[in-house]
Amino acid sequence: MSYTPPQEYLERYADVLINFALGAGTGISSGDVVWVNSPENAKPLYAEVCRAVWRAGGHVIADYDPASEPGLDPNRDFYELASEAQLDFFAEHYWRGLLDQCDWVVQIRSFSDPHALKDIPPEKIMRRHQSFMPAVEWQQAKMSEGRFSFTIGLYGTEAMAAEAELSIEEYWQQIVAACFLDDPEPIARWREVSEQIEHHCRFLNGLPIDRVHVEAEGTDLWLTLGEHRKWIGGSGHNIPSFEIFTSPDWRGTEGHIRFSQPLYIYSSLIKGVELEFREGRVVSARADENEELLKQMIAAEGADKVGEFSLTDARLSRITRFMADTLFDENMGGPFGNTHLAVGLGLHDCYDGDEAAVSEEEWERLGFNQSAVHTDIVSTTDRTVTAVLKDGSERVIYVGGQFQSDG
Amino acid sequence: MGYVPPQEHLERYADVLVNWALGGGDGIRPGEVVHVTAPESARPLYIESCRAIWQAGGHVIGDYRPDDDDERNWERVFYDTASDEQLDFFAERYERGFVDEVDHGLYVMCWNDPHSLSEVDPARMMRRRVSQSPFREWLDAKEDAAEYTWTIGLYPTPGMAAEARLSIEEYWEQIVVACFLDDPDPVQRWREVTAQVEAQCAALNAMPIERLHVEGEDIDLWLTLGEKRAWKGGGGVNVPSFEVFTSPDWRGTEGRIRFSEPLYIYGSLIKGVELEFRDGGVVEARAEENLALLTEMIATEGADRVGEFSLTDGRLSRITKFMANTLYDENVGGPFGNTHLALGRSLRLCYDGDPDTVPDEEWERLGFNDSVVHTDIVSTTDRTVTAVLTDGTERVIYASGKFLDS
Repeated sequence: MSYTPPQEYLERYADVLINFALGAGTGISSGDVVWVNSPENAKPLYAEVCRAVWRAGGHVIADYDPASEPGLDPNRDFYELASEAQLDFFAEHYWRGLLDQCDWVVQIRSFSDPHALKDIPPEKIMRRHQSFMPAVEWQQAKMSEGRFSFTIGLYGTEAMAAEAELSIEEYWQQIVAACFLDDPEPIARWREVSEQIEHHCRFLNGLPIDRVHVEAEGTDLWLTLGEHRKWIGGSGHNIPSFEIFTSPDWRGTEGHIRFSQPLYIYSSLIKGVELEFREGRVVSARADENEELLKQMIAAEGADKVGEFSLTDARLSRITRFMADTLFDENMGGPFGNTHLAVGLGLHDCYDGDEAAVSEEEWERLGFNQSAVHTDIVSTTDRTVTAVLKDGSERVIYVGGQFQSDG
Repeated sequence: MGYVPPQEHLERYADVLVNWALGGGDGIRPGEVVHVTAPESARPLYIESCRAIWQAGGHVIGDYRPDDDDERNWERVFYDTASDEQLDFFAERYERGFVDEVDHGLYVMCWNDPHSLSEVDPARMMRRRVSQSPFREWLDAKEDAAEYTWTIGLYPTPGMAAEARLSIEEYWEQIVVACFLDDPDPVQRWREVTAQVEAQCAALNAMPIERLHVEGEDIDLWLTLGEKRAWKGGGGVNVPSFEVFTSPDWRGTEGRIRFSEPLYIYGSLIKGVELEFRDGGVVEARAEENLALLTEMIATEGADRVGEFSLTDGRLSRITKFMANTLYDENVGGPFGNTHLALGRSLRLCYDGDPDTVPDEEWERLGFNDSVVHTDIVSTTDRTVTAVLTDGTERVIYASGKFLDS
């Protein structure tokens, strides 16, 4: 067995996930059904999460996956062996039953080998993802009705730490600090963070924003907020989460952006990503490394449109190191916080109203993007974000890594 | 990671399970969905089984499970933590979707620690088992309708080998030999075994047997075959399987039987089991060790009745050692083959006809037993089995571990 974090931290992490993150601060109720998804390399946290569910009176639907090990990697074997029919297969009855049954899902992100699928043609992986679209849609629909929600936690492995050029102890130190696991009452700390996030959201949602202008070195990007939008954060969907985000009208994106942080997709690292948008679509995608993979990702249906725009206040986030994982990197603090865009799926919970009452046509009319892809790309350089309000006036909402909520 | 068997053996094992055992000797077909269940300790065979399924054009629904180990005894934590409501919870919609989806089930039996649940109250485990019984019933119904097949294979751990007082290499060697994994074409060898088992079944099914008399040291037991019974064997439900078995009319069981082999249930060993039957029910159960657990098991609804009677020919089975596991022990060969009884659920596949057309009342009228339990108990001592035919004549069908064919 490799490095295992102290039991105390594992118990606190599970406590935060089950009794705070699910239900956006409320935790689960007795009798709730929780689908727990984890690879075997995260077993210590998986075991604590199950225990926390049972202690809270809930039920576990276990979804425990084999790890990828060199030479013994079923995840890789599948892609090597699968025919098109196998890539396209969707276990409809199974997924229908699973999603009908579950009130919550906890996903533990962890990779025994972040590069396990490195040489697999990405179109195969995307095709596989595409086949799971019905399950994604069912989850969205159930979430819109307020009957299903999720949270995601991270479990560090030696290989993940190596990817970030950190030792396993340093890597876990980031997780522990970011999730307040070094505090005897991490849930109390998370409630404080939630209050601060709400404060910033109130500021942003109080402004009648028409467009947003992001300026920085290598970046000059315009986004259009769109009708019925709200800024949200602190939903508990990710632990940790410090970001405040919205899902703009994809059609109003113009200009270019350069991302300072590397991006991982499909087990590969893409560095130096630059995107240029015209009339809402990516018209040029460049990268210093692995540009081909970036282009393939963007070629997936709906992946050439913006699904999310997000800002993290440097004062809130305790994440200070590059972690080579989206969950942390999209919440990075450091000197200037971070800005990120996601290409792909729009986020229905950024709709300002009752999501369940919105029809397919209405989502389309409002410019919420639909896609099997949702890829966050992050920049931590100093940026200034200016809001253009409906009356044409301008207001700086974020500068030097800080929201301008108080002044 | 501990002992890993040679890759060649693993590939052959997966080939036997996927391309022979599932589908009742025909293997799976492209497009079929296979539910694969295995714990972490059986990871190498889990992976080879998935590979074999993908190579055959099938789809995998993975049911990979954490090991119970010293630090994180996951199942134990459940039993220690769960309320009665949690024990009774059945994920009906999930399990329904699951059953609707799958065409086959491949179960890799394996325990990192065979005693990991030995301190859990067996009543709680049975309560859990009862609450999950609709899942089993739905799969049974699907199997009866010829829309589902399943198979079980065994994968060794040092803990399992230690239970049998074998080294892990010796334990694996029994598996290799029993499953013909030392043969370049094990599927072919299984076809041959099946032909021999089927010939034994045909000979038994041709006899108008009314009752069976099993005699041996500490054994004097009468069983009544009942109407519409068939002797069955082979078919790939268990790998390995050499036994020939039927499901008698439970009401006609009389007498006593002592089992030479220990029995494992719920992670505990029960030794020296003796049962006495009157009017079809167990009226006395004795054991030299863990009698309370045996008594508790028999107290489950329907577990005091015979669900199966089975004979293994010593010439067919290549299993020679006690393996501390029912799958192997109920198929043990050696000098006298074996006889075993199961308490609990009858096997509907022993109905001589299409089981899917039989209503519940008819099962009851025919004396097929219903229970959430099906516990095989084995004897390997020298036994003589005499059939009393419907015309009153007697015929020895099995003696000294061999079927008497003529």
